[in-house]
Amino acid sequence: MNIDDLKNTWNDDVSYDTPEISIEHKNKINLPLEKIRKNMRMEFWSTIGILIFGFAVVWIPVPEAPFKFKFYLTVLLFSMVIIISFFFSKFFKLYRDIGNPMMKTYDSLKDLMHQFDLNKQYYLSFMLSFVPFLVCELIIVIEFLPHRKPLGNLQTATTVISTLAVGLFGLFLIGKYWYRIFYGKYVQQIENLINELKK
Amino acid sequence: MTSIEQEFLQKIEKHKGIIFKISKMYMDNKDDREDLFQEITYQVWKAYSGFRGDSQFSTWLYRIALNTAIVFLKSEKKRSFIENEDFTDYKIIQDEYDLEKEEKMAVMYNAINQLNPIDKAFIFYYLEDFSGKEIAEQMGISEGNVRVKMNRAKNKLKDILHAK
Repeated sequence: MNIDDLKNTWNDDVSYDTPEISIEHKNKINLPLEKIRKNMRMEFWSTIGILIFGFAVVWIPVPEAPFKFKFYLTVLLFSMVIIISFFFSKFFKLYRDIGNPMMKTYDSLKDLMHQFDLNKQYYLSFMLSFVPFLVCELIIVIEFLPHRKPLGNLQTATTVISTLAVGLFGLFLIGKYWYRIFYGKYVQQIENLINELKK
Repeated sequence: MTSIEQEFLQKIEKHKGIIFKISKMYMDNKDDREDLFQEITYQVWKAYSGFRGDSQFSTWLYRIALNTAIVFLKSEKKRSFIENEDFTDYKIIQDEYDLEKEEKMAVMYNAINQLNPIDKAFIFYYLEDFSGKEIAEQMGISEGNVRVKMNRAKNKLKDILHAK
């Protein structure tokens, strides 16, 4: 078949067996954004579960723990709730506003990519925001848990600093890995399309 | 049903054939085609309140349809081991049944399906007789770039057709 014949064939295709039109959302997930929204819902509920577990651990299994210990950890968990709420409100706002198919194709893809980049930065900030909590928890544990031999100044400083260094590095890596596993393939897909249009 | 829904359905009814043709260009599987068809309809409906009438409804609709199709992911459900089986479904209506036409359509959609999503969009505009300027406006790139990409897409399609 010649390429010029294609137009005739194209015009001959008068589809009479088109599906019924439905303007209700079917909840099928075939757009990258829908996949991401699904991941986000999963992350949101997992985080809620982890926080509930955290509160339960602080208050239920160790009734003999000093009140100050429980109180400090509870305050810390509440602070985490505030930080998490802030980030999740940003994530949800981000995904509510993006994905405008009315834009020109190139602009629409660029917009999608920009939002993915923004989301990546949020993710890394989200992960790194846990570092101060990690340090605080460590300090609380060091101060309140009974030790057979009290920790010396150098030992305490070494423990806190090394935990901070490892925690910072670990959370950064986990954030990057998490993002790549759950979102990387979609980002790659959009990136390829943009490159295809640009080159 | 609200009046805006009725108005929308009347407009979309006239264009459902072309939406289905786009779905056939982008998806080689019957279920995926129907999913894409519904997704496009849904996206057009979602965007409908933003349609200002600056351009023709069809031009506006094509842009949304292609933007949706380009980023549409194939469903991950298990497929038949014969991937392109559904292209034999393109029967024209019974009283005009023409085996040759039907075969040509199957060849055409099979060939187009092998292109990447961006090339498919260019081929769509070519088949719908859009000018370079109109395509540039729809795609958001320069007319020069449109010429280069259109030639490239057509050459790829030619190679696929000649390889058969």
